[in-house]
Amino acid sequence: MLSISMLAWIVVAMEATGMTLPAFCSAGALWAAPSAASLDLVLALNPPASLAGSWALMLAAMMAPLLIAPVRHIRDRCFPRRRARAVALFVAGYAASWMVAGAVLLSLAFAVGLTAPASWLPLTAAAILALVWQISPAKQICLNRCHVRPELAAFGPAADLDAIHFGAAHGVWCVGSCWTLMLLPLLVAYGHIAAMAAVALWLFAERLDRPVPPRWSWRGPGKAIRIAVAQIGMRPPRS
Amino acid sequence: MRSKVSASLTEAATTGEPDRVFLNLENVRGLSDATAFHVYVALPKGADPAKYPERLAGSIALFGVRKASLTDEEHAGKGLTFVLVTKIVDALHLDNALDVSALDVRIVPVKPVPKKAKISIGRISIFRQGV
Repeated sequence: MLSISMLAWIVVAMEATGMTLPAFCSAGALWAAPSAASLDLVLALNPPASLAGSWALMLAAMMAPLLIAPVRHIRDRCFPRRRARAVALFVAGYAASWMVAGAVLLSLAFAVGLTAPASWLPLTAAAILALVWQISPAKQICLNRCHVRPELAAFGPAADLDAIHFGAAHGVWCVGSCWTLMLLPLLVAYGHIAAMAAVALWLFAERLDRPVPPRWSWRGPGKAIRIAVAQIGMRPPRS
Repeated sequence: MRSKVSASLTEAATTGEPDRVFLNLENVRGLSDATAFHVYVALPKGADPAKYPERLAGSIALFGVRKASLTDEEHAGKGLTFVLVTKIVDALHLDNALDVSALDVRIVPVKPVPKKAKISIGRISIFRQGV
């Protein structure tokens, strides 16, 4: 999963520094004049298939590290001959959930770009929304469900269905947990990849925390910070 | 796995130790912590478990199962998982009583379990590990 993520990040970086930006990044430049004509132009230059590909690439880069634990759960409970198939079905179910969410989030980002071009207001509103969602019980409920590891059938069609269902359900709760943060990189005018990286790091770190009862409270990557502090403290003193 | 277990057990009879066989009780959930079970393997149909102590793979106590079954607690509703190492499979093979395509597992409560305890077991699996 880390290898897939690294590969996807390299492709994203190459696209950003090379000839073509990811579709939804370059679209920002077209929002200078909001009109039906500019919408047509945006869609002409960013066809849905290209947008879907860019979104899938973004997912692979940002979300693959989050799938290490659930994929391990599947691998540990499958016969060796079924492992690749079960993991593929899980990923397909997970990706399906996120692709549907991507259609909504990208539409929202394009709509915002067309109605309020070159404005910081949408990004500010999205950041406030992300902050409120971050401290809400709903976010904790979604995070808790991301830690669910269901029982999986070992044989036959039931095993395939369980893998797809696990992937789709995991994807739905992952969308619920991450959607506000995923919206932020889509709305920034500059530094899209840096925003993606920051959000990906945050999502990975907060997923390390164990489930707790949902309530209104600040939640962040507490465990990741404790691990980082412990690692720094364990370094031998310089001579 | 079935053929590999048989092959391993047959080979071990002449050359060394047989594979270890693990009996996993996964995603055990429920509302009553004060519950315990004996786990028997390959009991004859309708047999009284008490008369077959050699078929007892182990006993499990579900302490902590209530909290482990709650989605919004530390275990995220996964429940408890128990792993029992059993030599019964090897003993069955030596007795020519091993049917690897149908290994019966019976779970017998130490004391009667009320229905409101809602004890469930997500999956029972058997794994072998080569020595």
